[in-house]
Amino acid sequence: MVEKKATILVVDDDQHIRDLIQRVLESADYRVITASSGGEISGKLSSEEIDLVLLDIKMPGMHGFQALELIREKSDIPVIMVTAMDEATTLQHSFNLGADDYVKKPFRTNELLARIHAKLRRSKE
Amino acid sequence: MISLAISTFVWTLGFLLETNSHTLEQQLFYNNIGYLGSMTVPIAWFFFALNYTSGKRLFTNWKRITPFCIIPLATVILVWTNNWHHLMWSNEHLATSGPFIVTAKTYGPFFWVALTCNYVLIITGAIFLLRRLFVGAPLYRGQAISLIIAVSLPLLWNIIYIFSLVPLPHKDLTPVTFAISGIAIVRGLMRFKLFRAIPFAREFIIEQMSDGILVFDMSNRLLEANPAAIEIFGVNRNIIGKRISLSLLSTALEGMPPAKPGRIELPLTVSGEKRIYEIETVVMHEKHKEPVGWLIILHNITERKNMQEQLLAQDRLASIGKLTSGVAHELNNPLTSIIGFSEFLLKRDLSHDIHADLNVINSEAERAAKIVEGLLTFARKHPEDKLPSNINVIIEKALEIRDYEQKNNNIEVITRFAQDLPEVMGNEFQLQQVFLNIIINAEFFMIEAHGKGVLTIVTEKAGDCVRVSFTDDGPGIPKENMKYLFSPFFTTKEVGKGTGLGLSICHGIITEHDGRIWAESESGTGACFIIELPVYNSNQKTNRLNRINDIS
Repeated sequence: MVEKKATILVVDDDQHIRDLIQRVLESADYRVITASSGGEISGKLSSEEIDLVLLDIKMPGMHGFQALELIREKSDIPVIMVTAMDEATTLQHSFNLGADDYVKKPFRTNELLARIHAKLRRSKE
Repeated sequence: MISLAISTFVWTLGFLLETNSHTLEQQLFYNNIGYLGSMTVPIAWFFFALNYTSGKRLFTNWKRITPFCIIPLATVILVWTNNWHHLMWSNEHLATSGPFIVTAKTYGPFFWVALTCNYVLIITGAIFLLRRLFVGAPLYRGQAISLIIAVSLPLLWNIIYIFSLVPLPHKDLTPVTFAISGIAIVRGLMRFKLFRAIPFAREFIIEQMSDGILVFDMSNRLLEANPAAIEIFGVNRNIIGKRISLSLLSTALEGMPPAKPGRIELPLTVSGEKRIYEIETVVMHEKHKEPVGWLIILHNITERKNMQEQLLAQDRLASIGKLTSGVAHELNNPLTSIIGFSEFLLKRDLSHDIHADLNVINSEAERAAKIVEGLLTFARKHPEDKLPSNINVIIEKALEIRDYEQKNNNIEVITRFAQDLPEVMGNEFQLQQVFLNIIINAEFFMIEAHGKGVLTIVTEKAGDCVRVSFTDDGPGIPKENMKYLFSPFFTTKEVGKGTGLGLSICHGIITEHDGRIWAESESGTGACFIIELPVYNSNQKTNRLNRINDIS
């Protein structure tokens, strides 16, 4: 049986980072949907079947933490925070709000893929 | 002192009554009352002068006072019993003297004894005050002078009267003059009582104070120098009284104009210790008059200065930290793109030269990312995981890492670890990073200077801190670099050999551990880096560096 492509929602205000992640993920055979702000998440979640969210913390408009709370109100899907803010308190707060993992910017593409893969495997079990 | 006023009053009262009575008996009776006052005034004066000048209440108990009272007491008794023995006077009769009706009499032998006794007491008292006048503070001279005038006027009058130096009027007006003086004295008493301790307190304070004081007259003659001033300049006391120039005291004072009011800060070396003094020159004026002299006050402000500088440095580092943190985070996004895309591209099938160029882009971006990470460590303020740790163990681990390199580069390491060193609350990894940084720095500069070196590492307990010092025999730190030592991007190493972040990261980590890090160095004789970390105490979470930060 051919496994269905997992769909990943990438939320980041930086277009280059969105592009980068999209290309890295697509090359690893994932389906990618992008959003440039937290405000777009709600709509995407209801219109698409999404398996995992990569969420930037520091964004103008809706902050990553708010976006995370919004996601958790609706869904249990894995959320990996992508952040340049690696302070322990920030990370701790993310986990308290329901994040599943984090990737520190700048990241290695291999590391990003490995973490996504691991989370998806667990959520399918 | 009150007795002085009372005696004067009795004397005067007797005198007035005597003057207003016209019979011999009445005059003699009031004369006798007056003696009660005239015999106690000198004693009261004498004790007052003694108490005032000694600054102590020497004559408050009767045992000491009694011996001085024998003659006056005998006099009073003899006065009242004169009719039987005529030791005081004889041949008394009424006479007219100017406007007064007076009692004329021939003085007996004991009268002269009593008179001498009185004069001795009054003059001795005056001498005590005079002595005070010349050795005491100028402030009290005015008061002492007025007191002496107040006393010598009646005395003078008395002498004139007794020895009939002026023929008319033949009347003892001494009580009147004494009463006038009495008012002046009593008025002064209120203030004397208040100030009695002050002249002595002033001398004591000036002797004991840690501020140095030098007093000059207007011809630049050194009048006084307190022990602190003598110590500060390391001079001999015998320069007091000599006309000197300030540069004689210390070459640092050269060019400082004498007798010019102002305030300067000067570094002075006192018994081998470098101190910073605030030097204030004050010109002394008596009210609306020409200056009488000038003085220099030397106040040691080394500690205050150091504290200020430390706070300033911390402040500077804190604001750099904030800025750095913001910049570093902003850099992380573009770096993510550069590293990510180049990495992504490197996976493609590319020609060899493009692959090589791309590799440069990728590795340089990685290098930039490392610098940013270092900056964030420097700027970091949040508490990392800390555990009670043994500093000795952490240093040993750091030394193990460097062991191979050190042997290859002729670096000898001497360790003197306190065996009973208390634990500190610390992040072992971060502290090791700090120690490694300092060790590697020391190695670098020692090798650069003479191709080898000796690094001495000492751990000890210092108060409520654990102190670690790293002393190298390298070239030392030039004085002008001292204050930038812990600032980010400050480096003396050539491009590519240092990021200028090492010590700023160390500072960030140690400050985050509520500790202190600083360097001591004389250019040319090596450098010493000292770190103090608070001893771990399970009951106590706050500590002094936090408090210092709060104040700033």
